[in-house]
Amino acid sequence: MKTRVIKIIYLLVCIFTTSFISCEKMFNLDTPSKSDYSSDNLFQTISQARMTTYGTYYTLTNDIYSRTINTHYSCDTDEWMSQGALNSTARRALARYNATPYLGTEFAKVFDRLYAGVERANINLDRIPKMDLFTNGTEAEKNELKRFLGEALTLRAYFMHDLIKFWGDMPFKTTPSISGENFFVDRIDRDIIYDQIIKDLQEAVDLVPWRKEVEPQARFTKGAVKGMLARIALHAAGYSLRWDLATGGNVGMRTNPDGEKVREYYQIARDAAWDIINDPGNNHRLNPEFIDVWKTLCAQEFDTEYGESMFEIGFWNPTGEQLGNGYIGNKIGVPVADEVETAFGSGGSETRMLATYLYSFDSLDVRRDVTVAEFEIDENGNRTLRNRFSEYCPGKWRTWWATYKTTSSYTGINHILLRYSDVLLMFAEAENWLNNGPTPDAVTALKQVRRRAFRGNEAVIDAEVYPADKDGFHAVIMNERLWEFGGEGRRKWDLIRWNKLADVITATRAALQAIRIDETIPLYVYYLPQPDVEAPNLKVYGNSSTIPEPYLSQGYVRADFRNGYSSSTAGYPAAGFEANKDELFPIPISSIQANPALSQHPLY
Amino acid sequence: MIRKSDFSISFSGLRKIFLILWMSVLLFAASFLQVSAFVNSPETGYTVVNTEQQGREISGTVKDVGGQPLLAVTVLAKGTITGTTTNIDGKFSMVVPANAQVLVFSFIGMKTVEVPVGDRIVFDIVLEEDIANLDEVVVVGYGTMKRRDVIGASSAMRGAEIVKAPVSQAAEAIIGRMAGIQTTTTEGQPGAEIIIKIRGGTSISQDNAPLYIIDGFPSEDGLKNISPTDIERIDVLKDASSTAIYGARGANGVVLITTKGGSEGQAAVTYDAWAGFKRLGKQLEVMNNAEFVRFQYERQGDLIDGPSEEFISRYGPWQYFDRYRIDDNINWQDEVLGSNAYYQNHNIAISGGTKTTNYRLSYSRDDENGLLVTNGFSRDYFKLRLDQKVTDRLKFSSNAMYSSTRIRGGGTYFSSSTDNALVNLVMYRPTSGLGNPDDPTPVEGEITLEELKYVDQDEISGLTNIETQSKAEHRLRATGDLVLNAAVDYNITQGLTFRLLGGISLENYRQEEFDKLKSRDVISHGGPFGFIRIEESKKFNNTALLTYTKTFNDLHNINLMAGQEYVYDDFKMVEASSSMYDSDDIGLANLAMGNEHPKPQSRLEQTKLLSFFGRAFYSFDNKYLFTGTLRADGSSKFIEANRWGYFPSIAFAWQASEEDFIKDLNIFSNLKFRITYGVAGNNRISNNQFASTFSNSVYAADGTVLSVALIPNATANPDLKWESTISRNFGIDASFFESKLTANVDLYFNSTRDLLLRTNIPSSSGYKTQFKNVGSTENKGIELTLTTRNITSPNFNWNTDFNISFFTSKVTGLNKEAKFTEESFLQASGWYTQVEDFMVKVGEPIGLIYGYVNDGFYTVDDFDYDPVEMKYTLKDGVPGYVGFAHKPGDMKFKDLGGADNGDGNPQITPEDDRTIIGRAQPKFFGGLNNNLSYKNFDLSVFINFVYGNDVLNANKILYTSAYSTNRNMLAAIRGYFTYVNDQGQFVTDPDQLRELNKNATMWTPDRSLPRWTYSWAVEDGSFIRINNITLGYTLPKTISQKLKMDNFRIFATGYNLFILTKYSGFDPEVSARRGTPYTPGVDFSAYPKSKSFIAGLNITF
Repeated sequence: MKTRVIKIIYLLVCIFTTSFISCEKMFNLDTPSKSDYSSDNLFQTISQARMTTYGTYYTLTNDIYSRTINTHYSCDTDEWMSQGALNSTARRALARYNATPYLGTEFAKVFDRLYAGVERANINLDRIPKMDLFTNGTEAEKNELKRFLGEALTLRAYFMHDLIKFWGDMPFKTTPSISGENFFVDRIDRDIIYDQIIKDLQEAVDLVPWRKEVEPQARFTKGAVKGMLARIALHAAGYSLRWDLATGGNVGMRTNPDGEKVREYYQIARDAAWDIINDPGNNHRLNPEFIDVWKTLCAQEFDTEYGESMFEIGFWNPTGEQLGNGYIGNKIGVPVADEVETAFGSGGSETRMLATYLYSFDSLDVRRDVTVAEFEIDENGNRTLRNRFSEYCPGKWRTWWATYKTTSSYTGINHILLRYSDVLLMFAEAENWLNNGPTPDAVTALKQVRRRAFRGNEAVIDAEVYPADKDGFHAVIMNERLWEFGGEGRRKWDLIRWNKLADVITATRAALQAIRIDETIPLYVYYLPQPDVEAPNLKVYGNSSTIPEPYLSQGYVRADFRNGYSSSTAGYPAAGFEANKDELFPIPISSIQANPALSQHPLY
Repeated sequence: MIRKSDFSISFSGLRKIFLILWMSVLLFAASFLQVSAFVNSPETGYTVVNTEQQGREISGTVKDVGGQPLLAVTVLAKGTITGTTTNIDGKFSMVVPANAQVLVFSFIGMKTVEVPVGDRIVFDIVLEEDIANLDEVVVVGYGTMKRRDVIGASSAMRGAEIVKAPVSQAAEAIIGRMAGIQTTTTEGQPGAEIIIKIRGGTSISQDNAPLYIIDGFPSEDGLKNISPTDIERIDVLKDASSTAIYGARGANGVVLITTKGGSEGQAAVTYDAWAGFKRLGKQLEVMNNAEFVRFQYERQGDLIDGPSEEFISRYGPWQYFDRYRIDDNINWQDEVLGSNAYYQNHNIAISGGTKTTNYRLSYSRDDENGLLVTNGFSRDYFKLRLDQKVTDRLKFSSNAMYSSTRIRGGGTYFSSSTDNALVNLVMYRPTSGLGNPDDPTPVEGEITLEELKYVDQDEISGLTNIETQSKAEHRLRATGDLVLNAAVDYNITQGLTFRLLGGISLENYRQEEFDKLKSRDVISHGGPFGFIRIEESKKFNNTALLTYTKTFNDLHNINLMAGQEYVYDDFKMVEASSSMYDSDDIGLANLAMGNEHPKPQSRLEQTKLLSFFGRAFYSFDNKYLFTGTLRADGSSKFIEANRWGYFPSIAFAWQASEEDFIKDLNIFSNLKFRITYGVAGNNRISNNQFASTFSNSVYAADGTVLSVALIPNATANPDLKWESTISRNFGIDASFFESKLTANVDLYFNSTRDLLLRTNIPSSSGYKTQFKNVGSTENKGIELTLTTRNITSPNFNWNTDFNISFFTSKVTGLNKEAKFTEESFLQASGWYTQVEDFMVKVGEPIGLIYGYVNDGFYTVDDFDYDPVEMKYTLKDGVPGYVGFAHKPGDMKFKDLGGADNGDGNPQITPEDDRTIIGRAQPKFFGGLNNNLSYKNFDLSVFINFVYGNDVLNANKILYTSAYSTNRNMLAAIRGYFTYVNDQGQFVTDPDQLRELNKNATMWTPDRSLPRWTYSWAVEDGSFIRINNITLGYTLPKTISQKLKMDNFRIFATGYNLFILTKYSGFDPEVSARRGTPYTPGVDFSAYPKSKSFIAGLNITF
């Protein structure tokens, strides 16, 4: 008995002693984050700074730049429309210019994500210069960190530029958010923001390397930064919907009131573009085959040879999961029947190319059949025609070109944000504006783009003569951009900065109604399904609902062409457009509710 | 970022004080222990070890009024610590000291009896039941008290109640039983979550679950991992005077569970078992095949070219529609949910002990099948409780518990809210079509009625056969829980005891998902895929308590307690998945068999809580009682400067029935007034919210390589601090007429400030939300418990328990900044679309359903008709939905004012015409239990009720939408506005259309996916439920003893037998969208509830 008691007491003493020892430990109630970095242990090494830089790029991925921004936000112009009826979903309401502040998360996520991107860039811009390696590292380390800095500046500029494109004057901050800071801020004049981000881009140009100096990556290099500088400067110089911030009155399409500033922006755009064109390192050139630009992209390869694709958002993710992935080829591409998705990938489209756009192409223009896909892949893996010319899809993105195919909606195909042809046309446009008419350099730049488009018939282009006046040549540029960038999400924003959106929408809507009742356009198309999906289908047209001989016995199949194109369907594109109002979206209600200091678009 | 060192100076002072305090407690305890262990202090006279030589032996039997022997009655020689307990036969024997005067027989729930010892050797005692027993020992924070001394508001329930009408989840047992405790069975799936809220909960955005303490040890899983038959009693502490001692975690109330232990005597074996079956309680009525086909005919559109060839070849031409007979209807709810689901439960326990060692070992096994094939729940549970008296001063007790739970099957919720079992069940077509009698050649891919039952997927509607789907989806959630705890009690000197508790809980959770080839998700993923998640959580808990009790002059009672506690949680998680398997067979046994592997994930989280607390109790002459508590909590969830929260409480009670002038009234056997005030805290937010953390994402910078990308999670908020709840309670306990009627009334008013709220911030900051201490809430309520002994006689007893709770809660403040005061915000429950259908508003309770108000449908007279274009346009002055081209028969909403469409015509817009259309918070709820016994029969009838809450029956919206072809709808859409006349012709002419629809009662089904939440779907969720009826029969002792059994009872119970409600869905008690606490009371894709019937037996050997 006694010994047992002693044993137990000994045991208890042990327990007490151990609690004593762990007493200090117990008082330390810190439990630092183990699975996540916290700001305390981050920005110590190059690779940490690289990860936060990639985090800023991540803003561009699923699914704002792989779907929402480049389709529904940029839809319903003279090139394309959102698929489907009027405004039964947030996406269509956006595309049809029927946006309201109440469209929900589909709408609000773009607003929120872009500002998340600004914050991510701001953190890097704040922390990287404070890193020890930034001042004390090796040259290589310092250059790497400078590159991250340049990328943060460029990305922030791009996010702000998009915010201005969608909503006009917007809150703008250049420091990381800290608790206690007043987040309840109103819009800032877009001209002030443009001034800052153009300065930032000019600074970034010197911080990042040329394309050929580094491994090919889905990151900004010097040419791409200059290209973005040109693009943003042209937007800063162009028209946008403006109102008096103080009163909300005087709503209208206007440019920066400071004429000198406008000229300066054109000059910046022209010079930046010229630097790329005139770059002795030959970093960026046109790919001689227009279709190869897209084949390379869809094959999940970088354009290492020509550098025409100057900046791509990296969407590759082999798992088919949504993280960091994109919908390129699935929400914007050529439809593929479910049965053959394993072989052809998960092609599909939420947008439709307009019939009027299809007919605007010259028959020799190779871009037409790349840009507008009148076909799809059926359940037997054959190339078959889609019903009705109003249902054609964007053709630049075809999932069967992919090296890594997926049956999920997420395709792992990158999205090109800037091509060299854009640089050429931006140069021609700015040069024409600055010199009050086209210079030989401007014409050469334009012809470079057109010669490639008429590959095999270059002589036609060589013989072309363009108007010598500023407006005439500008009109040529406007059309060329329509054909060159079909489906790439540029058109709406180009039209706005030229103040042409209202005219173009009116004309397009009238033209669509006209071709609907144009009896010279046949009702049906009869075609042979094509096992080689790269080869065009053999087709003939007619007005008979039965397939005429000898085509019927040869296995031709009928599809609607003009047939069934109703007045209501033809009335869908841009149905809700109101000039001097719908050039900007309303601010999503969630943002207004969370920040009453933020003023709404005055016409909402 | 604020660094630790900035605060170390201010903190170190505090730290030293606590360190010294803690050290002195330990030293004090340890030194006493050593001294008194070796010195057998003769002065106290209480450390008698060898009583055998000084006393004499007595024995006896203790029975209740009904003659049943009572187990575990405490028999104590008054004034000594010599005592024992009765065995299973109610027998006891002990040696009493020579100086013993009186024997005290006491038992929980019975009136204590004192008997002079004299020369008697045999004591046969009968104990009477005492409903309002003031000497009953109730469990309070870190100790026990006599009910007489309790000032705080609390409710209790005894284990005996649970055994009578058994349930497999302990939480089910308390439904409706205790005032102020609101329970919601979220759905009908086996193992489904039961939400327990005490006094409405205080938090807006965070978990409102109370704190659970099992035998002194906190348990995060609440009641999930304890077998109901092992519960001795459940005490619920409701107001801050009783919960403040738990400081941090007590704000939402505390549930204390005491498990059964062993008692001295021969080993007793009890065996409780039951088995039964469940049936679908109610079906949703859907359209029959004739109605279905007619609508599909109409759904084709304007029918200008007649019905499509495909339609005719499947469903036949119009003139044959009368051939659809109801007998050919497939009732999918019958097919899939219609069969009986069996379940059974076995519990076996052995208990016993000697004078110094008591033990109880129990094992229970549950097997429960769900209504949906492959769904089920099973549990194995072991528990060993061991109490060892080492010396008269030293007691050692330990508890070891292991439970292994498996929940099988995916239930009704699939991968997304748009895709769930009920959609695929309710909307599955009731017929495959009779084909075209005029052209019997079947169309390609056409199937027969019988085939339709067995296809995996209905090609033409895109819906899945739920039975196939359930079988193709492996879903398993398995939990293994090991809890070990031990306590040492040391009686240092008279009245002063030291208690040291230590506990470890190890929980392993494994979640498995595998989608086989026939699963619908495989079609979208391209191949079978699997997923495993393993969670490992360890919790260490260590408590030291010093308690001192003393009575001076028989008038002053004091009870002082000081303690310290440390809780350390360690959570680890790993998750891996694999997809594109070529084949089904290996599955999760080897994830590498899949061709594609998303990134594996893992996490490590730690939290710590260090606390010091104390309680002082004083009573004068048992008339005036005071309690004061103070607790200091330090939590790792806040930075050092804000780490410590201090939570005090005070309470006062007046035992009026002890006053002579009350006694003289001869009305009250007990009358007590209680008033309390206290503060409790809450820190339920995720870790490291005060810091700026970066989580991982990916970016494919290098083309076909995925690189890690870091993104910031939130703006750091170093100012985060404790949320605190002030609670005030006023209570009266009264017993009348010799305790035949007992009533408890409690009034309370709780207010919470510095609410830890995940609040919206302007997203131009880069973040959408941030945790802040903003906002406040208020809860007020009245709780009433009545217990009556209606009839007490040797053969017939009838007792009634009734409780009812009224409460209102409201949000009194939301986000507030210098420039911004948030009055309300909207939240999407996410039942289908991301439409924001709930509102949180200052001045209102949580759970406001928000949407449009239905106003029937548009009639022909609302329109102008253009006969040339055959088009209807709304007349001037008739409001239309913004952007819609309405036609007669469309659903119509009330215009609540606001903007017109520019030409003076009213317009329905989301901004102006949505309003609060329902309130999910009930006005009152409660329960009524009647226990009757006649001779050897016992009967209990338990009814619970909820009144005044609304349910958003979102099922009803989706299942009356015709968004896709070949899908059926609820019968609620019957009488819809039609465009097809009796000849099958499409009618547009206004006069014909008006005539055709003169009896129409519903709108034309919307051909889009649901896009609105509207008042038609908001229904009254009030109900009265006959929760269970149990009839039992106990064999007379004479017979059972011949069968070598001490006790033998058989019983039958029916659960959920009847429900009185206006609600049209499966069951009004539902909460299917639980992502945030903002959206209670949504019925969407919830697993249907069942009725069940069991029969069982309780045997004691």
